[in-house]
Amino acid sequence: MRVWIAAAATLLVPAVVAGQGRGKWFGMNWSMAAPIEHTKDFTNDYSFRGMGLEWRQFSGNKSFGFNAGWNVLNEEKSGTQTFQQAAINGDQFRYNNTVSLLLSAHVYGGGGSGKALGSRAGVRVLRAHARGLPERGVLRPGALQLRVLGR
Amino acid sequence: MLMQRVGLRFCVGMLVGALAAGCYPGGIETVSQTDLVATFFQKGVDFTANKTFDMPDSIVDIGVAAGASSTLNHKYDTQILAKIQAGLVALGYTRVDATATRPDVIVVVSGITVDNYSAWVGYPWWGYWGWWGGWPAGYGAGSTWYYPWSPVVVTGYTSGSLFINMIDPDLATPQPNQAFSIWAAAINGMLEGTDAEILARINTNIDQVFAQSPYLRTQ
Repeated sequence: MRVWIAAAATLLVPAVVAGQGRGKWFGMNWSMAAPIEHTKDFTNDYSFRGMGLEWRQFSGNKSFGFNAGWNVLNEEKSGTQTFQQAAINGDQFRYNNTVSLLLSAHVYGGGGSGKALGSRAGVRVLRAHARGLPERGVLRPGALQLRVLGR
Repeated sequence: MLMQRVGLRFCVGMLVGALAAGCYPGGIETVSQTDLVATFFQKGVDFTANKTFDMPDSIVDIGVAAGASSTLNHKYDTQILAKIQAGLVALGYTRVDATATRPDVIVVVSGITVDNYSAWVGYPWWGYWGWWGGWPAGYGAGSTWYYPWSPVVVTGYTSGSLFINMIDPDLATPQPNQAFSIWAAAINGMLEGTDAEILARINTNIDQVFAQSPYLRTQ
């Protein structure tokens, strides 16, 4: 089973935080990914290529929303494959695109400090199975965030 | 207000699209990254029994059999043939004059100037190399190839591909008048690109041909 740990340094872009104060919240993030296990065997390089979009609808101290993310890992590899009566040498261009679509639910505490406690559940499109994505952190729109997500 | 929100969403959409397109990793950037070296050999052949070889002194365009007029650039024939000869000598082979001494194996080199030519099928090879005076008795018009590894082959080669065939005239073939290929190499698209690229790739790719064929050693 492929397992990913996506260490996401999430940059909430102030310009796209829309609807703040009106019960809606929209954010955009830049995510990076480090492959492990079988994914690492295929594409070993750390990836700075990724992004995500997030939308939340607030209701009291809760919010429900949707999160769409994309990461691509790639590696160019040279090598020789040998077969019973043949061998082939050349460059391989390997790509691993992962698209995640997650429904989210958050419960907020701490008054105006912006502390958030939430969880998400969704479907990773390329894997076709559902899983939870526990999350805990501090939410301050317009600021740099660091979140560690287990995917 | 509504216009502002629509405009904002449009800008976000454009930004997302631009970031995704800009972030996507690039692919092939140089001609040499498309190089592919494939080698085939007959299992069970005792390559150490072969010590001598000879080879025709030019590269022929076998793509003519596909209906194309030959546009193969023979500018690099000398370098390519010399590099192949050097590779075989390094493996322990000695070149002899086939018109005077029967060699253990004969090596022929060909290229194509068409795409997707099926190089490993029975093209009329005698029409291409019949002019060479080194063939042993028994070879003549009507001779065909015998590729023992067929049909495990790659046939979709691009224009500019180069092929090397090692024929053992001492081995019996399933049908008479066949040339028994005991080893073959294909270098995909090697003759495409600039002069400097081709000359560099002649060295690296032909070195690779022999590097991935260690069983060719004479001892």
